[in-house]
Amino acid sequence: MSELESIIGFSITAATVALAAAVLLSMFNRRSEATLSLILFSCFSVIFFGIRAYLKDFFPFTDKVESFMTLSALITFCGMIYRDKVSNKEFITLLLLALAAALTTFVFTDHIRYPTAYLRTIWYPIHVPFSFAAYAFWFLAGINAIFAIRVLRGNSDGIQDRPLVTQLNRNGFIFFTLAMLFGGIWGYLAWGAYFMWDPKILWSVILWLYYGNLLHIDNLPHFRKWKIPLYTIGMVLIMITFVGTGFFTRSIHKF
Amino acid sequence: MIYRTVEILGNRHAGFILCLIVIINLAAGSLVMNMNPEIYPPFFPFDLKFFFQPTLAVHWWLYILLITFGLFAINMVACFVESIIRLRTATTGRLRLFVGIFIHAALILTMAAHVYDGFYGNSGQATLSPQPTSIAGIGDVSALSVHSTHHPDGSLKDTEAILKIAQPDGSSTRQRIAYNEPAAFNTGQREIIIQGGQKRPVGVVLIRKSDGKMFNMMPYQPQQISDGRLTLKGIYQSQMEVLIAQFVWEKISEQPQLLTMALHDGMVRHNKITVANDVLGYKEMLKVPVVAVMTRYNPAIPIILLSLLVAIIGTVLQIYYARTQSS
Repeated sequence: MSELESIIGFSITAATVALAAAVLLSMFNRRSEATLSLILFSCFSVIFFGIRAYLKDFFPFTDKVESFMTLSALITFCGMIYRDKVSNKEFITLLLLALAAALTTFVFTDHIRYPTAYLRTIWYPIHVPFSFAAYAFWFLAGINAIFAIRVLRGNSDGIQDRPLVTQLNRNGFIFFTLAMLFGGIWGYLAWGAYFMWDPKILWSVILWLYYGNLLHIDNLPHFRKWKIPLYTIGMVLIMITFVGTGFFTRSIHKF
Repeated sequence: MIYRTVEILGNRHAGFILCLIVIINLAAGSLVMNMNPEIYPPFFPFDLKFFFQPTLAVHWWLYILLITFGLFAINMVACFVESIIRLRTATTGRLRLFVGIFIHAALILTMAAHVYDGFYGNSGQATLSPQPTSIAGIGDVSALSVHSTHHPDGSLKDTEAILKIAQPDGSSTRQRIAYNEPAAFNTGQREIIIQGGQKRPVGVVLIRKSDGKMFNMMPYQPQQISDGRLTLKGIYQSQMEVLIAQFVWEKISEQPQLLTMALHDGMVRHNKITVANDVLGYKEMLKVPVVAVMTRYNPAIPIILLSLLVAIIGTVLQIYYARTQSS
């Protein structure tokens, strides 16, 4: 048990170092070496999740350390998928975000605990990664929007040149819709209600409405100039939903 | 004229602004609820009656939310109707229109279901034991058994219980419930959801040393022993956390005698009593299953199931549409 826990400690450190190396290598335009670092990050992440799944006898998405590591991994994978469609600076910014999530895991004392009875259902482990995947797509959309501010400099006509933002939002929206559906089914089975007045659930509804609303903005000529600022604000809303509600409210979702 | 009305009500710019107002409204509600924990219990089900019984100034955000959500819903319904009208004439972009129609229909249905459930649904708590408990719309429910499993560190893994549901006509069924596995009735509109369970000691089995005869002692159910009668008064926990049974021994022409017995195999000097010149020893506890459950009634389940189906179709179409856009 303690040996496996040591391997977990090593794998999370190694994964974080590999991610940091990928950031540095990308800064120096060493693309193939950065790719190798990201592959190493993925391998160490698989070891991390694999051992935790074995020790917990369940899917490893049930505590803060696992949540932040999952987010880090999904942001990284999202970046790898869209690497050829975004600039190197955008890619580095996204990796920095993934690195920040990975580094956050070191803030918490890592006690491996078995999941509570409520979490032991298939709906929970598919609900969590789907919502984190949506965050990853939306973070990339936000980063793409932030970098567009400098490029556009107030010329709203150029926004049509940023179809990637909408495309990323659509992908995120699909994942988040599925996450909401799975979460709703789980809620009905576990607590008899698909919606509860809980800060995390309320902010998830906010996020779904917000990004769903933004999907319409390309077809609204009067509001198109707000597209980039609104996508930038979206990143703040994700942070409130993911971190804010988990740590600064009375939410039952403590991750 | 009708088309023009639909066009005005379903103005997309207005819809966009209304959606942002709803979002701000929800965020304000989240802050108000977090700042007033004495008014808003954490993690409570969607019960709109809570905000009206009584109406309070602190619920201002919800009253405004109902108005803004109402306006937003009108806008969406008009958009929905307009999209269907456009679908009849559109030769291109039909997939996009279909995606919008399905996702918006799912949202409208969900909102309608929330309002219906919020005002007409209800929740309750019950403790089920072998004695039947009447639950509205379900029947007389009793717990037949309860069993918990634990992780190697002793933490709870799952609890499952078998319930017996008896109907007024005499028929009965058995249902198994566990965490994340509720018992559902009337197409899921009524639910019994487990919240915990254990076997609770209610009585004690005594063994007579002279002939090995056993006596099942339940509270206030006297047993005839020789020329007297023995009654279990109750079971209590001592300061040392040992269970103690209290008995009363009654015999004609004698004062009632109060007797105590430690209900523990290891306490050999104290786990027996003497009545009628005979020793009665502790054999085992009599335990009954006790299950804590939540009962839910949500009349909007058929609407939400329809909404779920429509949302799944809309999401599948959206995945297909996203693929055509990315390629």
